[in-house]
Amino acid sequence: MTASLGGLFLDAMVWSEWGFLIYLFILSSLYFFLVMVGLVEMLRHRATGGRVEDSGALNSSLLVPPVSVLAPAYNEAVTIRESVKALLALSYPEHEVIVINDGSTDQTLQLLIEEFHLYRSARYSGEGLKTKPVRAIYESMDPIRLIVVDKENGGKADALNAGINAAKYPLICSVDADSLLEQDALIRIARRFLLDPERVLAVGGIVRIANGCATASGRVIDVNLPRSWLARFQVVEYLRSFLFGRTGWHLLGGTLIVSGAFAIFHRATALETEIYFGRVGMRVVGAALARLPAGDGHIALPHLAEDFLDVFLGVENLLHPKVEYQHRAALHRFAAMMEAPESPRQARGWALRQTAINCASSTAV
Amino acid sequence: VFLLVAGLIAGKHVQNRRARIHAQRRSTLEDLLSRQDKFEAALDAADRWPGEFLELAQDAFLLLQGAERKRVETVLRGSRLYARLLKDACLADPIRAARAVRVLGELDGEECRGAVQAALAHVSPQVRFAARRATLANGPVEEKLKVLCSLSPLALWERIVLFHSIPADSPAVPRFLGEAFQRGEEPLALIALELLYSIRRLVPVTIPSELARADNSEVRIRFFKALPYCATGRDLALILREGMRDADWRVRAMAAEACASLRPEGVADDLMAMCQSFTNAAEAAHAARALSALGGAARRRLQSLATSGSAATRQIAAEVIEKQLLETAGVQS
Repeated sequence: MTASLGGLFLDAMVWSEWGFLIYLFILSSLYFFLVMVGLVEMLRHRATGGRVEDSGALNSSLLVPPVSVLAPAYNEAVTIRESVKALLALSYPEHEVIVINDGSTDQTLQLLIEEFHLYRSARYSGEGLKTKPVRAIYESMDPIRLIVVDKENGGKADALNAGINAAKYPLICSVDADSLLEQDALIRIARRFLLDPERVLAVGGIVRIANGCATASGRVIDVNLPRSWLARFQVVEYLRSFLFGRTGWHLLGGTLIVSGAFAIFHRATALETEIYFGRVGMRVVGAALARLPAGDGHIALPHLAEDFLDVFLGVENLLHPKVEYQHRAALHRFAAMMEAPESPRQARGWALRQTAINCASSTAV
Repeated sequence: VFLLVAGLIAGKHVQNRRARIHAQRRSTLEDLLSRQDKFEAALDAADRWPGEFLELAQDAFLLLQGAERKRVETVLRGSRLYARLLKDACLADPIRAARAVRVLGELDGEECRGAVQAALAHVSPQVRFAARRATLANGPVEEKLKVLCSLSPLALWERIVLFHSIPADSPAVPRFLGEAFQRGEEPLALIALELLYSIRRLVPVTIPSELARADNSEVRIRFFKALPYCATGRDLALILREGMRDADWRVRAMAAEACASLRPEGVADDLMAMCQSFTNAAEAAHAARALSALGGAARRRLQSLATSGSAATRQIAAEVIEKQLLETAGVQS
């Protein structure tokens, strides 16, 4: 009896081993396929993509829609000044930087007030999205477009919602206050909107790890590998998931999610879809947009518009809940596809699309 | 994963090595091209390292003027690369063809112009774009006009880049604007208005005021954006008042913005109405800024809005007044 039970257990172990092997084989094959597709797309883009002069022309044109850059900050006293200076120095015809101080308990707000000569302004902040109470809005007395929204702590999503309310431009770009953007990242990411304003609802950037890179004044000046082997593994994982994986999915028309560390979308769409909700924050962008019926809009990834993120090397970072949100986004899109063509949600989707079209029409209002 | 990491390190090493060699060759070429007595050596180096020389020539055409640029042109024409570029411009490969067209577009001469013109009908959109750009930058006026008339199907960013290529004093600009407005076709008028707004200079043409009532709201929006840069046949205040009563809030906002630039008389009532009743805060903000820009009695009326019953109107008025006061203080200090 014991021997037969032992035999059964061994058989089960062997079968489960085969199961794991087959699962790993399928998963690795899928990853490999995506990497190859992404690689081909990247090489094609590199050969045919925009040139420096194109960015120069776009930078000096007022036909390019203005962007409000939202940077939520919670206890970022160490890096906030450099980050804000880098955001203000981004190449773009017209952009405003909105830092949302999400109830920081350190010197974040004080440092901003002193560094950028902020005064408590009478700026009108729309009441589109519900947020925790806003204590004050500050603007700079210097000729720079910097707005600081000081509010009670409510989490990243809440901070971004407050930023969306305070924003005045038709496009919204969300960035992490501690991430480093390339000088022309904004113009490159916005170019996608100008390419296909009728369909593009949101555009995501490529996130890379800044550990090991040489930085100065909030800019990456030399890209290098980190010294730690754990960090190097993470570099490979980010390259796989962001640079090749997402590019591959984009080519297959399957982009469901954009990175919250660097994403751009229409303000009107954000207001309509309540793009950020709860405390989960930015990664649900795809989920919110995936509520739209299939074919109504798409999310694009501009290649090479890079955002360097200084990644904290901890276990929690390796196990971040991105996958869960991707699944949620996929489910939302699937649910939308399954709905009857004349359903109210589809009608709302069309209305949203129209809003997006209106906003994307390069109208700087 | 180990293999990937190892591959990454090896790749980076090879890349660094290649970058060093490339920089060294480029530096040698730069040295030779900067010295007048080294023409033969420069020619020889250009033939030996065509890739680096082509890259250098492209940068030189972008940055240099006068004798220095001429020297690079002479070396390019004398090198084997020139014949290859003429051949490449007709190739089906879009990458090589577009690159050849970009370089040839910078050069004068029938041969180069012929290659660029032929590329306007290339199957690849990338090559056609490069040819359009080269034509608008250096081509004859008639060709420029043809290219400008064919811009409607292009993406907005492509149109912006192409507008940027046209020299500011080109006679093609007023001619195209005149023709486009005269023909009365909406897609062409839209391109003309975009061009006018892009160059942001006063142009001696008259915009037909009928465009303020065009079916396409994009045309109406761009009409009011471009209005400060040329004349209209009708009373300006009348056109602006019509714009401020448009069904689309974006058109109303742009009409208000045009009021701030043109400061016509008799629009304050409409601006006040916009501030008090709006569908989007942006239109109220534009109207409030226009009232502030008009000055005098209009500014006093804006101040009265700071005590309005509507919280949004009050806040918008307060914001604009605050900005105006800060600007005045800035000018005084």
